[in-house]
Amino acid sequence: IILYSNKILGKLIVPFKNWIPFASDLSLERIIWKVAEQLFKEVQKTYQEKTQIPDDLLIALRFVFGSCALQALDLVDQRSVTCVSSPSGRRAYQVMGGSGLLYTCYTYCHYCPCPAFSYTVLRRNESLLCKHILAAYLSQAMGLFQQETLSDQHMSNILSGRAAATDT
Amino acid sequence: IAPLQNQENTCSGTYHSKIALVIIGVTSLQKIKFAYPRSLEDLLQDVASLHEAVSGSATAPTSLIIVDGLECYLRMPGLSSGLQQAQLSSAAHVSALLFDTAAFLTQTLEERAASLAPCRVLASFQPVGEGHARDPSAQDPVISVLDRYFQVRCTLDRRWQPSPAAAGPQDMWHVCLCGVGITGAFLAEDEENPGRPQEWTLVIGADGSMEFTPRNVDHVSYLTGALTSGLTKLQIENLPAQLSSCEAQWFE
Repeated sequence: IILYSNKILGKLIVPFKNWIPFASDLSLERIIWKVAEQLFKEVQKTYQEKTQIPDDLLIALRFVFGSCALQALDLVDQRSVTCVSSPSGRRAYQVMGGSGLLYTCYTYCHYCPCPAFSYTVLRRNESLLCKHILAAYLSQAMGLFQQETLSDQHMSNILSGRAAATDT
Repeated sequence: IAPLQNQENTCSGTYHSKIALVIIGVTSLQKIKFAYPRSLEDLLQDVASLHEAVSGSATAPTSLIIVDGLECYLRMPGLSSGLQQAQLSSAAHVSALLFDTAAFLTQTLEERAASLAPCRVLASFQPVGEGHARDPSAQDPVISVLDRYFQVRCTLDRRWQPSPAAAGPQDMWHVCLCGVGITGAFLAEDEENPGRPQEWTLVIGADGSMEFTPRNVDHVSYLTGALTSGLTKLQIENLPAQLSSCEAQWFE
């Protein structure tokens, strides 16, 4: 009901009307995530056309992700996101946090080693994502990320948490 | 992948390999790689390295990853029991890495041949306090983290009490499948409630024979379908002969 009251999210949620009647059988988190995915597509489309994010989309981002949205956009603005890849084709995103620490986020699955992810996402279940994962999504949508190629072994070390991209 | 057994840390870590030897042939066995990481860090490194075998190699990518005894890695000495938040983060890390790796391997499998099945992940986890008196309402917080990543959970509970008429010398278990990933073979054609738990009673006879009975008669029609699907068959056939008092297993 709250989602439908918002103009932008109401528009975004239209494609999901068919399965909304079964919403009681799915977790609310998964439904909101479907909305978030649509939101990223809208950001991508709009940014490609206008090279900026209009206010209504910013409001929608703030609505879904809370204070994380502005923090993530700030990270994207500072080009803090790097897409690392290796010859095997494996990719991951590394985000330089405000403290200068480097956080590795996976491509297909949500995980970030930052304290906020552990506390607000895993423990309190209060957020969908932390600002680092959201920054990785937004940087992809806006095409504003750096790229770095690593060896397969180095990529393995990054994925396992043994090393950061700039360690060697 | 299974924990390395030692005297200080006795986890049920080897039954998959013993049973696998009986079920599958020698040729198929050559395609299976057994790994026994000593710590969570080694487990993460092993899983993170799976993509290296794909690079410039004709070797078929891994199509199934089984991790036995996740609890052994999440409660090793290096991980203080008081640091629950660190434990939850570790559970999330290993789960996310497993599924990120499986997604990458699935993509690689599809690139090589569209007919190849996706890479799957199976893991077992025994909640804290099993084998002792426990409060049924108190769920191990790690389970909520695992549920976030694994779309289907299969819970095996030996403490379920059958009706007095059915009571006997057999070993009885309550098997329950739940999660948002319950679709396809698990559901009847007219099933309107995806994600609804599916429950069976498992009786293990003295000779090791196993018999599954749906707890809801309406579900008989699709029990057969579930048993003939690849993953479920593997899951059921690999049940250890001597299960611990209660064990939960998840699969994608």
